[in-house]
Amino acid sequence: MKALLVDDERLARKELRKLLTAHPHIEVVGEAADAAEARQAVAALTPDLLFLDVQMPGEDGFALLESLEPPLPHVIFATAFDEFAVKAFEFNALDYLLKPVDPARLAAALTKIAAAPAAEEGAEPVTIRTDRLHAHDKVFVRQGEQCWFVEVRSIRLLESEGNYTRVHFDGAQPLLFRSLNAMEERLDQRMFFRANRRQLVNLEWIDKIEPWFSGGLLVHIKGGPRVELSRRQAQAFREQMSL
Amino acid sequence: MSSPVVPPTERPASRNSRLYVACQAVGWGGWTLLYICLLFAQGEVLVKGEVINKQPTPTDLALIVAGNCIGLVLTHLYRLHIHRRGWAQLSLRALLPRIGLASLLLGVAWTGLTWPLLHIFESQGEQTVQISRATVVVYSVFNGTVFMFVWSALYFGYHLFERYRRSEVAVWQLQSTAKEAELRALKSQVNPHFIFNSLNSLRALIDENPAQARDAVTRLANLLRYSLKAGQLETVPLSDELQIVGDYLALEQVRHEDRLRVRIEVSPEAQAVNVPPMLVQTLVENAVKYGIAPRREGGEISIVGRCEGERLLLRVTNPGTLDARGGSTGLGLRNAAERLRLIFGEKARLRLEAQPVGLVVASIELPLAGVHSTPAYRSIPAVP
Repeated sequence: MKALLVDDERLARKELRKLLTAHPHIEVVGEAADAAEARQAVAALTPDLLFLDVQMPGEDGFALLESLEPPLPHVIFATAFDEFAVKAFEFNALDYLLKPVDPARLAAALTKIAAAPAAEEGAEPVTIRTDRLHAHDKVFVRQGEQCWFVEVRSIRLLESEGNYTRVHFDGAQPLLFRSLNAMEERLDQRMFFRANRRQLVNLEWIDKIEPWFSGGLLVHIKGGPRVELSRRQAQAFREQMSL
Repeated sequence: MSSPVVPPTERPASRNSRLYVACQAVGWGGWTLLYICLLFAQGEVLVKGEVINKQPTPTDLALIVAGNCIGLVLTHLYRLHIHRRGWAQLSLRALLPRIGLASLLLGVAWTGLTWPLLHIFESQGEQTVQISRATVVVYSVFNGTVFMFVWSALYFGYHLFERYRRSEVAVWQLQSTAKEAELRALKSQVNPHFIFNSLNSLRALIDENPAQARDAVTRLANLLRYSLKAGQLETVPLSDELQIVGDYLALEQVRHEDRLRVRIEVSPEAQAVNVPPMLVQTLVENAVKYGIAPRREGGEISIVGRCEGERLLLRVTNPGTLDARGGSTGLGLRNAAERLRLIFGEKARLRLEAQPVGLVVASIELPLAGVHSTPAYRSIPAVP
């Protein structure tokens, strides 16, 4: 598994590198001292795992994740002491390590990643990157102090709001800094259907469908909003679903 | 003497005067009316201490009104005296004999002043009953004294109650001030984020440069010991504070390496000046947090201090702009400014300003003398 270390402190990177020597299946392919360097390194080295410092000069770790093109590699945060960040991590069961890093905690975090479903696709990251996102791939979304790694298959609905896209999933609807068109290009067309100019629906989350005015359809999404399809879109929808 | 406790909310004088006028008007007016009503109801008149059965005449009414007006004037003069002597501040034990004597004197005065009136009307009235003059005088003085005593009881009762209420508020305010001070003392401790980052760097340094690692452990220990002690100390010599700032900056240099450059120029006379502990440290920590950590290229932090006249001038400079602090609440600086205010009152100053060349300067001005005359700060319990 290829790992990239992102931390503005040389000594902190060195310390992590040393700790990782105890885990020979992790190969440290590069280091980055800030978000810009990290972006280049991610593009060039396609790591499977990011060790990411939260506080860095310029963009912080969260901003870096927001700017990365999904699918994201696995991410393990490292932070010294930041109550807010730690709260966000715990809330979403994200992996994080507290500095100075406890070797046992590091081992536990790496075990968790090995067990994660996305690890199956991890063997061929280059092909995935150019391809569309898979059901198990993750998208990073942040809103205020909360952040989420959302699995693509758990997204019920994507709604356009200008340059942003509102992502509906279990219990939250944060905004993603990416246009709906850009998201549509990256998503599997067999899973997501463009219901209208503003909305992209995950077909797996459709609860029921009922006829609507002038030949259109009204689609109920499980535990969420309803989406209207015009006659033309309803036609396309029927064609796709009848296959 | 400056006090950290805001004086308890006192009623404004004008409001107190209005209340007094209202009470006097209602009290005397009500008493006069009640007296007259009783007269008409009973059909009895008290003449020179003797009860006579007859309908009250206009003369009787005029006598009552005139007598009560004299009483009103007397109590007003009494109040002026109370004010001038500050009787409202006296304890109950000191107050009681004074009230007793004052009431007796007022009773005598009241009788003395109403006596000529009685005399005037006496010559016109048809008097049938003969009583000795002495009896009438004693009776009248006794009546007046009791009346004045009741008036005093009401007056001082109100003041004592007000005083009690105010002291309650003062105690409550003092408690909350002490608590805030404790909180501030906690907040002025070394940033935990820094401590854990330093420990993390230290782990790596142990392999890379054992000598530097040992040095860093010592510096971290110095810094922690100093910050724990800082809550109990009122002031320390600037040289002590700079020692700790030096340790702190050396540790930050371990983390930030060549991104952090340091320049310290403080004159020997300035080093001897007493300053609140952790004051310079707070400014320097802020300078690193906002001036060095967010900048890829880092920069220089300078600490320049000197004495000018009777004042210590100290400047901590870092690269950057004030906009960069937009997201912060400025808690550290606010606490530092508040601490200065508690110790030096208005004589100290802390300012944060941007310079057009891309520098942010935090400057402190302190008086050289007067550090030790700070009962306000000392009264705050350092550690409960």
